[in-house]
Amino acid sequence: MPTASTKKQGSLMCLIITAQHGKYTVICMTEKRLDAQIALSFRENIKKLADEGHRFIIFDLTSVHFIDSSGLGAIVASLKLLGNQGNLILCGANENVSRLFMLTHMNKVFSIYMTLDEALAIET
Amino acid sequence: MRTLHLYIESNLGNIPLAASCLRGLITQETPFNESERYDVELAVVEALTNIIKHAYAGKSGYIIHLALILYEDHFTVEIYDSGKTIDKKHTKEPYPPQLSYSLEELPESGWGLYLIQQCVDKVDYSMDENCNKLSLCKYFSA
Repeated sequence: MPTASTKKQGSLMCLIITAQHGKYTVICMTEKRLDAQIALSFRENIKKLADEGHRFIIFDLTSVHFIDSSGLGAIVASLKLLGNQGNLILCGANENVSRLFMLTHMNKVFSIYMTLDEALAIET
Repeated sequence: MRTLHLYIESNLGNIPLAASCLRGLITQETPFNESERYDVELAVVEALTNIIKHAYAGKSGYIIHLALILYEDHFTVEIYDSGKTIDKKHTKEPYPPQLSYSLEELPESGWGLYLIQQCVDKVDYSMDENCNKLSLCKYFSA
C-alpha cells in the first residue's frame, strides 16, 4: 500500500505576510484548505510570527475555500496564543467558512470583517 | 439508486482527495446548492478525520470505504472502517456550543460530531465484530 504524501504536516510554511499596517500584520494562506492535515503547520506558523513580534494579526481568508473543525481549532489556538497582548482579526471569509464560524458560535469570539479594507478601516 | 464506492488509505492527506470526488459527484448529480454541498463535504471530512485520528490512532495503512449513494430524494454517504469503535456516549452528546468563554477557556477541538449532526439530516452509527459503519443522510430541498 503506497503511503500518501505528508508534505503539509510539520513546520512547512502555509502562511505568508502580505502587508504591514501599523501594528497589524496581514497574513494569508498559501493553501486553499485549512484542515486536519495543515492545522499543525498553521499553529506553528502563527507561533513563529508571534515570536518575531507580530502579535496583532489580520488573517485574510479570501483564498481559503474550506475550513474544518481542525482548522477552526488551529485558528482559536492562535487567538489564545496571541493572548490579551495581541489580537487575531479575520476578514474575507466566504459563505461556507462564515457558516462554520456561525455553527460553532466562534463568530461571537472573533472580530470578522467582510473585506480586508473594512478590517483596516475599523481596526487601524 | 446509484452508488459510487471509494476506498482511501487512512492518511489525512487523502481526505482532500475523497472530498474532491464527493464534490464532483454531488455537483453533477444532485440538486444541492453550494451551501448544502459544503454541509455534505464538511460532514464527510469531519467523519474521515475522526476515523483516522481516533479509530486508527493516526496510523496510515488502513482502508476506509465510502459508499456515495444517490437516491430519488436524498443522498447518503456510508463510511466503513475497522478501527476502534466510537464511544457511544460521544455519539449521543455532541459538543454543545456555549456563548460565553474567557479567552483561556475557548475550545480548540470537539466540534466534529456536533458539526456532522448540524450538516446532515440523519446520522446513524452501527458496529459489528469487524466493521464500524457511519451513515450520513441529507435530503434534497423541496
